[in-house]
Amino acid sequence: MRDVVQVEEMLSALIDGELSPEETSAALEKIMSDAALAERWRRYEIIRQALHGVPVAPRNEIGSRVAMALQTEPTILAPQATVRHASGGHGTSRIAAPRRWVAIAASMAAVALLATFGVQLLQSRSHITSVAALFQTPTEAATPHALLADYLDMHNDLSYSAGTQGSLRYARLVSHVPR
Amino acid sequence: MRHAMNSASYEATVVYWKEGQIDTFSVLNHVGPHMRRERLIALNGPLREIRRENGEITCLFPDARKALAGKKFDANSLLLSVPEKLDAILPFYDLVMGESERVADRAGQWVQVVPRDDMRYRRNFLIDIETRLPLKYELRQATGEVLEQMVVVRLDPQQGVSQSDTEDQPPPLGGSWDVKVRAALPQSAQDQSRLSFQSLPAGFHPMMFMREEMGSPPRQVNHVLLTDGFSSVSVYFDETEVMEKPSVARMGAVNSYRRRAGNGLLTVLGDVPMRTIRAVAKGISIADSAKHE
Repeated sequence: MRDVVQVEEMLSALIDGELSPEETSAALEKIMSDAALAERWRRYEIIRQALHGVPVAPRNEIGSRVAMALQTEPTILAPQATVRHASGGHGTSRIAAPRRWVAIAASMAAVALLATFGVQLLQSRSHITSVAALFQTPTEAATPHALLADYLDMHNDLSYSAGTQGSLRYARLVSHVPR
Repeated sequence: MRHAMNSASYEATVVYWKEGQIDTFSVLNHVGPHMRRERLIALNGPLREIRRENGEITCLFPDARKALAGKKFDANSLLLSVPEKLDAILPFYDLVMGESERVADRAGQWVQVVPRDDMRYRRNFLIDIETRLPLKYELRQATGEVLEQMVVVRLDPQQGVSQSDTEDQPPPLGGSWDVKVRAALPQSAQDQSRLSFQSLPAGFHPMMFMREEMGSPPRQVNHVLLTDGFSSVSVYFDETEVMEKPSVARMGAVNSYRRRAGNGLLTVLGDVPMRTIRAVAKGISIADSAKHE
């Protein structure tokens, strides 16, 4: 039971981007070695992407998207490594990626085989920050819906319990409220 | 129809229209020998899900990191709730058999619940002839204007629903989730008698009283549910809020009216026309406060 709880906590932290680069690598290795765990995380990731409006790509598109992202984006798993500057030519400079980035990039390609993971992991840290901000409760606008939302919810709840309401109580609840 | 929704296993895709906006969701219902699992999942917009397992309902809102939980000792479906005893509403509504219509490639029969006055909405149900499950639902004004509508675009009765379909676990609700468990607060006889009603519209009577917590920071409000057996109106009295001027609002089929009452705020809200809301509000008295109007 304790192991199950720890695994669930790990998945939750991984999805929320709360793990350190080392912990993320370890979590990925565990996922890649456990098909059932990989499937669960795939489902959670689909949900996470759906709520951020990211199109959920079919499995066979992941490889090409990972490859493209590897070329254009620094991986968020990159540690705070020292970047060596090397000069080349007259007045020009060339930045060499730390060796560890290459190893991490390779592990990212492997993760891509697990379906939708790669898109999340290859987003930049700044993007993760803005994504995390989306998890905060949005500021309610002074619209009738916002002001009366709690009242309406309690009304739907109580009338549903009373069995009197000929209506779509839960359809109203799950229907999208435009921001 | 109510019995069919509660006892039949089925899967459906539903289109829901309200206030000019269309949403789609999936409904899964699995009924076993001693259990019932039901799921209602949004298919567009933010991912939202309602889960029901026997008497416990959980509402998940991943976009807002919120979850609502609570027990519902009632056999209504997550899809559509209808009264158990229709004869109780006959003094105020007529039940009219309408025409047949084909929806989702299935034959249905319209049943119209027509109010006898203009204090309630009209509700139309298209019922699948074979399964008795709902195929279509309309909520209409007396003028005929559609306020809310639901259409089943795909129905698979007894098929495609296995126990495993309804057993998918939601994402773990970690520490960053705001999980709210709805529960009534302790109440006293004095709380219950604080609100009194006179000259209510025909058929409406107080049915339930609760003292509930709402808002952030949380505050306690008195909540009375009025009903005619089919339509319902809620009255809230909040002693911590005030409002200078009365206000009205319309949210699709729901109308509301708010005004100051004594040292608090009175809110009347329900799935009824605005004239009904105003009529209810007019006849409310608050103890220790002079009757308004």
